[in-house]
Amino acid sequence: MNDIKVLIEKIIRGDTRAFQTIMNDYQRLVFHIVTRMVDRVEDREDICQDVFIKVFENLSKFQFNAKLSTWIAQIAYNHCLNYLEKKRIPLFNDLDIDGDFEMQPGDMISPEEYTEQQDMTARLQQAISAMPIQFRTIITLYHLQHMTYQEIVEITHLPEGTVKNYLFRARKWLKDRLISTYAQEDIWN
Amino acid sequence: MELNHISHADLQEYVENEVGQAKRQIIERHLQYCAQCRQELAHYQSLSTALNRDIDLQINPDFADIVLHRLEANIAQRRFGRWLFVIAGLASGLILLIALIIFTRTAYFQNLWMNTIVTAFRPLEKTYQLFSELLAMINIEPQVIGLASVILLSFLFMDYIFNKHSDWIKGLIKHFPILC
Repeated sequence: MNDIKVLIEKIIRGDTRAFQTIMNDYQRLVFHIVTRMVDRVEDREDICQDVFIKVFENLSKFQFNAKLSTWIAQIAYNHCLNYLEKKRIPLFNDLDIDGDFEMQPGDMISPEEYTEQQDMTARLQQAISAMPIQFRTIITLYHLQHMTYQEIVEITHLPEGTVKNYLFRARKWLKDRLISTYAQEDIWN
Repeated sequence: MELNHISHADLQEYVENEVGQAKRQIIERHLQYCAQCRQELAHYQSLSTALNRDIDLQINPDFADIVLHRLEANIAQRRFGRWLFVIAGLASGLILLIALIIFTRTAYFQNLWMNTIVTAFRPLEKTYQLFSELLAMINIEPQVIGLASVILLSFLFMDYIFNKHSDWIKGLIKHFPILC
């Protein structure tokens, strides 16, 4: 904690090189959030840059009440929300996330695609990208960043019950989609 | 029988080790004889493992350098802005001072100036007299007060124009919010 305080004090005094340590430590966190919330690949890097510039400029406001990772994630999340609002992209699409998963004609995959998507990670990423943005974000914070419900609540400002509910529904939807799209014995290989 | 199956929420909590001891025992007892729930559990376990696996983010190797470059450019721009603010403040103060001198020294303006002051400040005439006497007592020329006021007002004006409060104005706002 003291190391972080010293580092932050250096950065506040204008030491941009000290900020590199923060960037190295939290680069993946910011990229995870931005990658999952922003579909346009060409916008992602600019957004990540803007997030770190905001972090640098607001570091003097960091109160040490929360973890630095949570605070940075909050900035990244809010920045992405602003971007989505500006582009008029809804957080929830028309996908029926509550109903039982049914195969849509467009979901059927060709043998070529099947061969390409042998890798489970690729299959999962494709399924995740079809989910509403809010669900993707919560799944990312929980599973990739190993954040607690409380931390996710702090970042998203959603009630804990809602966070849990979204997480359960997202996992169920992902499982059903993967089972429906791929042969059961091949899903997790 | 359907009602007795473990709910999806409970299965997920079980996978993520979020269930209490009592619930865990009930779930494990059920799993011993229910193949359907065991299969669902296996799916959720595999899904959880896959979700925990990191993804390829394809981060530009120069990313940190680009951000640092942008930050340094921002800092330089802000420093320039601060100097510009000081120079503009002093310049406007000087212009106003020159205008004030012309205004008070020229006979035509002097009459106009005095008439305006007398008319506008008639109700405050006594206060003005007292103020002048006070200034005379402490041996300060009214022009000095005028100059200080003009410079202060110019700074406040420039601060408003640039919409970037300098540190001392931030302090002023903090301590005297009503005044500001």
